[in-house]
Amino acid sequence: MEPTKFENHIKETLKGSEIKPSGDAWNRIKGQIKNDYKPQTGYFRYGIAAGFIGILILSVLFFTTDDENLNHEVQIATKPSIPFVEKEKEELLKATVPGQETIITAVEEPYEVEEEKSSTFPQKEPKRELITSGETKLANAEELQNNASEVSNEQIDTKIAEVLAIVNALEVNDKELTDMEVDSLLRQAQKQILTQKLLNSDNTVNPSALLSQVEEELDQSFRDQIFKKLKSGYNKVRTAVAVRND
Amino acid sequence: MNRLKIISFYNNEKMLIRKAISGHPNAQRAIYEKFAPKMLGVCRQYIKDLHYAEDVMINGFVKVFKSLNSFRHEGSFEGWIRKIMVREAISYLRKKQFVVFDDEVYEYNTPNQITITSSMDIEYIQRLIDNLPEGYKMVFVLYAIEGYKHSEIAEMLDISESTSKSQLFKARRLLQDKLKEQSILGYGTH
Repeated sequence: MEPTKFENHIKETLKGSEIKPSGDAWNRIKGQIKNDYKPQTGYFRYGIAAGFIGILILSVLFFTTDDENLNHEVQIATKPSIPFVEKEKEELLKATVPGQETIITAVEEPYEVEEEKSSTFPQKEPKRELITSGETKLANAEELQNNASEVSNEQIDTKIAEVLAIVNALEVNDKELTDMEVDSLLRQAQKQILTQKLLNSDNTVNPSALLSQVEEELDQSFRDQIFKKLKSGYNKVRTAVAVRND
Repeated sequence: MNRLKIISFYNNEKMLIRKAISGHPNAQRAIYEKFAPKMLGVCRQYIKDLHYAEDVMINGFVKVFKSLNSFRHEGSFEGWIRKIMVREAISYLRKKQFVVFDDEVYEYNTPNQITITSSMDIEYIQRLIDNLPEGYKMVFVLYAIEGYKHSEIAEMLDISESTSKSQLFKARRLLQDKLKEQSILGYGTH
């Protein structure tokens, strides 16, 4: 029962036969298929989108937090130093008699403090900042010094008048005054001016200014004692020479 | 146009099947659009009435989509669908009690020479087959066109192998007679 040539011909002809179904056929099939399909691709896409947004937010937060921390560190290093320098200078300028030496030390002190404070932080940039700010502060200090000198001119004039009055009184009493004695009188007047300034400056007391004042007083008293001894010794020698000449 | 779009979108058959299994409507539609014309042709070979043939095809596709999970990708997907359609057509014919297998035993001699000509177009051949009795027709189509063996046909139709053979023999003889009647005999087959 081998397939005949006729059957092969039929097979070849009919195998490839196609008939287009009616337009309603698919709808009938669709109606019979119990389609429990719920598109999950939408949720999947939403999930991917949500995940992406979440990662984006986290990354933004991460990088933003880092920047804030960095800024915070920089602020710790720089912020406290600037007001400290300014305060220190202002107080010193108010407290001390205008003079180049004292101003220079006032600028140097906060710089040393800053070095100690910023030892745990990156130091290069804050140092530059401080140096530049220190230079500008020096210029400001000079201006402040001029202003302060103008303000205290009256006090100085009155003190000079007082010193002159003392000198005149001593000369009237036939007492000879040496240059050293005049200098000591001037220093005393200077101290008094300084003390007045301290008391008049907004009821605030600068500890470093006080310390420097005390040191100066100690030096002064020490110098006074030496001057007295030298003076008495000089008088004795002078009288001895005079007596011998006579 | 839409059909082309859908098919080109699902150019990978495995992906298309996987999508259809998950119940994706577009994938199911794509499978239908791709195979429906061929499957209606198959159903039409067994069922003379085109509307009934289409009904059978629709039922066949419903079974295809419901049993897509059982497709193991071992043979061709088209072959798998074709088998479902053939069984559906047979089932339809048997339900309608159109099929009668006479168990008259014939001597299986070599069939008479059947001559074919180029004028035997698809419609003419289909008409010849349509005019065969249902029993003959089924066995003839299964054997000659679909390529099933007698053992397979016997199992499918729940008949003996000898019955399948006798049905085929009778179908051939009838076709020969029909062709003689149409006077298109010219030269032999073997």
